[in-house]
Amino acid sequence: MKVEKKIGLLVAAFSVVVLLGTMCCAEETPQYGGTLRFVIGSPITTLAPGKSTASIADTINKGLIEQLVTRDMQGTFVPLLATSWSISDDGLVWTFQLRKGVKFHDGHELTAEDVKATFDRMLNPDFQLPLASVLQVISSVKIVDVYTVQLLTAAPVADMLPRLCWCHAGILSKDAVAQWGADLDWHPVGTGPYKFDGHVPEESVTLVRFDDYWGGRPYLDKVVFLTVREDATRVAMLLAGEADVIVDMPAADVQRLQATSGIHVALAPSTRVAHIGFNCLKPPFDNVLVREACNYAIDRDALVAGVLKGVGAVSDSFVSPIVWGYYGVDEYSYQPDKARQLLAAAGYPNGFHATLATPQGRYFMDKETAVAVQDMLGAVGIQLDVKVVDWATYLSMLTTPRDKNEIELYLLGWESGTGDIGYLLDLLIDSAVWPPSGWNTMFYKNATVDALIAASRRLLNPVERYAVVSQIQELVVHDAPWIFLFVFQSPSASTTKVHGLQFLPTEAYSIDTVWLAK
Amino acid sequence: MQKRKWKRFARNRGAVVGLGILVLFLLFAALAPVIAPQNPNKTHLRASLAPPSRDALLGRDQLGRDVLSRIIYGARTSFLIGASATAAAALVGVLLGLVAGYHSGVRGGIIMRIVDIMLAFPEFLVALVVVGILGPGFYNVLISIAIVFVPRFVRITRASALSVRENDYIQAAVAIGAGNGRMMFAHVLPNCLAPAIVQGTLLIGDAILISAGLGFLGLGAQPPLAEWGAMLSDGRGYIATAPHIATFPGLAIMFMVIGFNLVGDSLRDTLDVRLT
Amino acid sequence: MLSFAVGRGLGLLVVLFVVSLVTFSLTYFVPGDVALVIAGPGSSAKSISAIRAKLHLDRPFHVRYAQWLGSLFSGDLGESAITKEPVGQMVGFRFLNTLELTGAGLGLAVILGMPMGVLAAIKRNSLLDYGTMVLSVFGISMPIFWIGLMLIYFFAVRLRVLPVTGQGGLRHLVLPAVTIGVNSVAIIARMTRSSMLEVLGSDYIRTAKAKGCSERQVIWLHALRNAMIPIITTIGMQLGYLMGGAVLTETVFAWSGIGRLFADSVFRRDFPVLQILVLLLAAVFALANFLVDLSYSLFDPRVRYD
Repeated sequence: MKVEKKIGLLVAAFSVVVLLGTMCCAEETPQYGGTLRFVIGSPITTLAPGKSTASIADTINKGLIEQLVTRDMQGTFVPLLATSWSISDDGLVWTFQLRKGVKFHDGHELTAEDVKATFDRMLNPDFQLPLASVLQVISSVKIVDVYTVQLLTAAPVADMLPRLCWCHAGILSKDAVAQWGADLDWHPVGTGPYKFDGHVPEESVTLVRFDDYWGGRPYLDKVVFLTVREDATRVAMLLAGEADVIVDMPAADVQRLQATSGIHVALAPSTRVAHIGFNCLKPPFDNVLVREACNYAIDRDALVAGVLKGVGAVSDSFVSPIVWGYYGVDEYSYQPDKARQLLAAAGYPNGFHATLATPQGRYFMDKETAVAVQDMLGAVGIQLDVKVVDWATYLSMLTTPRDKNEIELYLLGWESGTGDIGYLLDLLIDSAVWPPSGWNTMFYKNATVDALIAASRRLLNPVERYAVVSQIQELVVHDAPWIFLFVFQSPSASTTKVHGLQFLPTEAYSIDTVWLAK
Repeated sequence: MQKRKWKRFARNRGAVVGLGILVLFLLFAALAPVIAPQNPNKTHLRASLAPPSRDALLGRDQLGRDVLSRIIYGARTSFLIGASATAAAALVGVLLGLVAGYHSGVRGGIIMRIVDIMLAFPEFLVALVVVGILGPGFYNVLISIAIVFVPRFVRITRASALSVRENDYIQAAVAIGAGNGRMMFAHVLPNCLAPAIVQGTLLIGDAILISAGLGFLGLGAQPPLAEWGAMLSDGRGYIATAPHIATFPGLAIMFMVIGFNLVGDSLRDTLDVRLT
Repeated sequence: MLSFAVGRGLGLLVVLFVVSLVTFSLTYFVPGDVALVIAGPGSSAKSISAIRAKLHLDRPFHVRYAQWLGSLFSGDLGESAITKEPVGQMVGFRFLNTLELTGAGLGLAVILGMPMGVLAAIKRNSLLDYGTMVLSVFGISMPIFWIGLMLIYFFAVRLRVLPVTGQGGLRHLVLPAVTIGVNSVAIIARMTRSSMLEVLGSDYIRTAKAKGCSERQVIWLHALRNAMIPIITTIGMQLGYLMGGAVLTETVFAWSGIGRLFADSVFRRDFPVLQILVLLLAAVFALANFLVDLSYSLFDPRVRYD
């Protein structure tokens, strides 16, 4: 009897231990080491903050350069290089306490001087950085002491923190800024867990582990970003084990990969909205009836179902639902008859002829979308020529000033890098940012909207601010400077060995949290 | 006995098959609006990437357009570019070749030097450079192919002109005072026609391959024009998920070129022409 | 022999000179402001005026040409209008990659094509001959890029035996080399066959046979050697053809070579790069022609005294 009881107890104890053990180890522990091969679809032309227009460059920069503040996956603002911050009563002075003991890749310690150098570079009118307008809310930077810095603004800025979370607002080494200034393209010296280790132009960018990273030893030894433009090739590389992570697979492959074992597919909501922009200065697109007609002529559901194969969602505003300030305007459904009516009312009963410019391979299914739109507008009488242009030429065509600008319609995808609608209001909607000063490539102007935008900047109360930006979206959707198409979902696929890959609301993948299982 | 029969059989068969293929594609091209089951540019987005079925015999492409209809209309594009470019090149090339062959002095020498240099370069690269300068588009591709082919016609015509020039009746005509222009056109030209025709037929096949190649690189006609090379390029991304999009246009190109090559080969044998 | 080589060598230089002249003028044919064309889209006004100064657009043509030539010789090959990288760097390693590809393709074509042609000629009008002819008609009619895609589909996607892309190693070279070589195999086979047929029917072959040489000796020693000139010409021409095919093959297989760079530069209108590439390719072809001419003298002594 005694022996049996003893054995029984032993077995029970053993089971408990085993159970506890498996419960503990069910959650995997990150492993260190390895090289991550991240394969992307377009070449990286620059890593300089404020310059690059490729969001994948943001992913790379995320591993190299860190901001003062960042957002966690729930969207809350958390300290990064700044441990705390406060705002003055009049809302014009933002004070940041910097983290001590943070090392840059070039060896020196982070101080307020680096912060000043970084923002001065962004705001430097000589450098003409294309994206500088997002940070132009900052009028100057003041060094209080070694670890305290102040950002001064001319008026209260409602979305200051989102702007500082922006990938391009990362803090650079003051020595690098001094040495390279506007030509910082391949010298992104930051404080991130990985440092830049060279690149082969248009082919690859390599990062290596930064051992003095303040946040502890980075998981990976090396991260290689390879550019492979052919979609099918990227997918084949993943399946053959030649790649660990791939992004932007064709829609058809998403389903195929989801069905493959050993492969994990993630479809993350993006802040990017695909659209066809009008040049609102060129007839017949200066007539709002024509623009509205075009919007009614598009079957967005078919686009999402057929072209995107479900990887995406219909858009009803110029921002995506995950952006703060989003307000969906239920306006344009697929009504080709109404489109024809509007065209006739505008004076074009037989339609007209125009050109739609589009890039190829830059966005998910971009050229296919353009051709689909061509067909849909053709059905209501608008004959479009589709012109495929290479990316560099495309950008320069779009940002040509009004008198020389030849664009009529163009395909583009705008994201909100800060996760807040203020980004697009300042960069895109405000009539003050017509090219060449900014990115309002629609040459859109609505005085009421301008006034509302100015007001929204100062409203620190989120409820009040939301009311104003909702109004703005109502007006803009009705004015239709775009044909609103769809909201992207960013597809990525990785092998099951890859852990911790997240897609952030700021349109970047978090390689700093990635580790590889052996 | 067996061997001789094989030989004739093989040769005739080649011509017949080639001709048959060409006639088929010519019918496609000419009667496209009638033969094609559907509108080649009409998208059916929800049915995109559909594999071959009764509804769409060769399947649907990435925008749901019927591949078979696009191939039929593509025959039109290919024929147009191939024939026009070759004809234009023949016109210019034969004329230049006549001049070079007849006036074999400085004039002829310069023409031949230029021709030799141009012939040293592969056709596709020259066409690519010309399109690079002119920009993409249907007409620019046509012009670039014509430019590439001119030297070939010049060389052939000059060779014929040179050999004919020595003939007795030409010498006789010169002796009685026949003018140069008349000489060239009335007497020399007819003898240069046969090689030009053979060369032309073979070159149309090349023209189709070059234009398809340029279309593949995105430098040809812009969307939504159904062009076989561009269709192949579109189908690249779907080679694993919807291989029919890339397979059938490629087959079409191959067979059309085979047709021209077979006919050209037979013509060459029949007309007993020697092409260097 | 020496005078022959020197003569041909001078011809080579002439060709290079003419090509360099044409290449230099290329940018002036492009519609639009030359400085803008070379600086690239989206360039700042500062960089455009810097380029304008560098080009000396106010000077006469020959001065500009000489200047350009001078900068070439001193190693300054210009900058890409799109990526702003030095063209020399961009072209350097890519050229080697293309050589690897075209070399493999040509090698394959010769190793497969010549024996096929010889056999077809020997066993004339047999099934083998007929089969070779049919295959070669297919071979010259198949579009290169389609061959590549089909090979990728069958071997990389379905059968998974070969990699889709990438470089470094024999496995990666197989599909691209076969793709680029198929057309050439067919052409070389055809040319070998017809050249051999001509030679086999000639007098000295009959003499050799009468002399009592073995069949094998006749074919390999006498016939093939005399048939070589047209075959060599064809092989030499194939080099040029392969470079053309490299553009499409490299695009299909994502091979980092000058062919792909060429296609990209045309699409992006990157003229500084295009200029250098055209010059480079011209030099390669001229050199190839020159070497082919020289090799004639090896196979046919009569040529030396031409």
